[in-house]
Amino acid sequence: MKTADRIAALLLFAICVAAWFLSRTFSPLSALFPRVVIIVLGLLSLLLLALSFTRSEKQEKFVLVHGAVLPVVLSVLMMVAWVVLIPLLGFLTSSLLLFTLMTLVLERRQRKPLQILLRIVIVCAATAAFYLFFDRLMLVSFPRGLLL
Amino acid sequence: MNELFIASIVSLFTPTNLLLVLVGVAAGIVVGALPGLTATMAIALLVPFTFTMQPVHGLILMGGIYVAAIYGGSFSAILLNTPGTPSAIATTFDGYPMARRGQSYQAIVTATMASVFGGLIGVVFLLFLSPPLSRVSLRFGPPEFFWLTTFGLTIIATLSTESILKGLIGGAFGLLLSMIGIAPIEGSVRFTFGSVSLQNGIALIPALIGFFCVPEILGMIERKGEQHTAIPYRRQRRVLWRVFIRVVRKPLLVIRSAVIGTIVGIIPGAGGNIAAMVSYNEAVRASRNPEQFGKGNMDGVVAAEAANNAEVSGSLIPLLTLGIPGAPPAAVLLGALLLHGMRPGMELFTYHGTVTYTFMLSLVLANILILPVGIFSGRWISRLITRIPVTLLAPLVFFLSVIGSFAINRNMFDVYVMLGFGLIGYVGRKMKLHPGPIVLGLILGSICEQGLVQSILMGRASGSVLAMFFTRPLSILLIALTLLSALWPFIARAIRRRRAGRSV
Repeated sequence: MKTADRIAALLLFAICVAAWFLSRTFSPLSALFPRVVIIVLGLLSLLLLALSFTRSEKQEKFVLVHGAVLPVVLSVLMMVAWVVLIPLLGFLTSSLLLFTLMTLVLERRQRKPLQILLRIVIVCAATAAFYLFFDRLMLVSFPRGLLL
Repeated sequence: MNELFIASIVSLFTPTNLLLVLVGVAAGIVVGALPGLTATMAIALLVPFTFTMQPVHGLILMGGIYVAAIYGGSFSAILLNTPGTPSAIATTFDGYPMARRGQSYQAIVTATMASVFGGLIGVVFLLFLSPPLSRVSLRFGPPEFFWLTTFGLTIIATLSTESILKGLIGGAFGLLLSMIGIAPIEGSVRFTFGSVSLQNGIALIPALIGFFCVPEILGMIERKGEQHTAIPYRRQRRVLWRVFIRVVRKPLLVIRSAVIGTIVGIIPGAGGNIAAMVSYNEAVRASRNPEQFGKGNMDGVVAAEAANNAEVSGSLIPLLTLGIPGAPPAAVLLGALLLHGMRPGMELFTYHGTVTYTFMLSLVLANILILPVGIFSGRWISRLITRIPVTLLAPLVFFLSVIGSFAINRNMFDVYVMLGFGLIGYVGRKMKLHPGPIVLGLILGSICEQGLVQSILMGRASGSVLAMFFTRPLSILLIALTLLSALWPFIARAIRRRRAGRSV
């Protein structure tokens, strides 16, 4: 984990430096606790960085995604698209679209058209059921957007 | 008092009230079992509906959901390694390893028994000891809150079993995140980067859903090639009786966990997640085999579940007596009480005495009903979360996470927070920075800061800041506990080395 430790330590130290500069605009009592925490986090990050050079532990590479990278990357992109599309298309439309898309994209095995159709029906039914329960019965009133 | 009790028992055993307890328990278990849906959210959604009900009916329904949702969280914690509610975080530590060993039914039954016993002990405290306990919580001033949260943060050392350093880094990072928004003292706007939505700080529940659900969803997808699915739940003969005997034979563990849960519940701001973590930590310390924890030790499940269900009643003690909610779901219940014109305090125990005692007694019934409803509907609930293939489960959990993070404040920004923290949590896991300590820091941050700054102000006014922090009796006790908690891993290591040296 040496590489991961170094990346984490440097990233956190950079956050501490940025936070320290931002805290200069705070009033004295508002800055007190953040500065205590920034100092503690900064020192701990430096300790992690130092230990990553001195520890004789087994070298383990930092791997962001184990196994197949494509499904994870596609899933993250679909999650982001899902959240971004809600205010634009509406909660129901974007959920139906992305829920179906995510289910079909993640399905690696070749399935018969009838099986795919069944999956789509299940996804649509689940989405509609939760939507109706929360939107109509519990009056959550999800964003409508351009569509539903 | 006796007449009130008898009138409340008669009121509870009416068909409508009994049905409402049953419905509340069944709905609560489902809500708790589904990741992303929390007791707070379920109660918050229910409040507008209770307005048209009689106060006693509304309170009974919400009480049933509160109790059962906290228990229901153990299903997904054990079968999916995703806590259904934040209170079930500590249940994953040993519940999931038990399930991976093929003991999913044993783990669920253990969680059920512990929840029933813990919950019942908590209600006994609520019914009979609320006045003296609430007096203790009244003595908590800013210095005590500061030391209490510091004590809570030292639990990080136990939480991060792989690296104490990374646990502390995670906790400090969580504290930093908790400072986003308007400062509690002097009101500076901190780390918002000009965003108005960030001025109220980071909403806890969307952040929790993000940290605990999104990495698990991506983990499921990542491990899909390894045929990873949720662990199946199979009922086995005689397990119920065997687990019952094992739990009953550990009265100290159950009572200690329930007492911890109740005390943490009484302390405002500390919820079921902290109760379960503190209780788990204490179970590890008290055990003769602490190294077995985290590997599927039944005691770990008992400690976590007995505490989080006892915390439910604990959180209601300051709520009903002082109007101070002990946990987020209790805060929502406060809103429901006020909606019905019921002001917490003596009035609740006199003018609204029958309603209040019926509500408190309904919690006894709800805790008992957990056993049959949880065990017999367990197969159906586990099917609900285990029979769904990963290709459906992963998008479904994300869909529920979107609903869960949106529904609390009905705010899209909370959904962005959920996704943002989810992705941070995923990358953090790859760097062995686990979400537990970060979340603990996020929860305790504002309480810790208020305690620190207010104590300094009080110290300056009284002439000695140091005396304010270090001379108050409750503070001294909490400092001792903090030191013991912080130094325990090193003390334990030294003891183990000495023992190993002797055996050689």
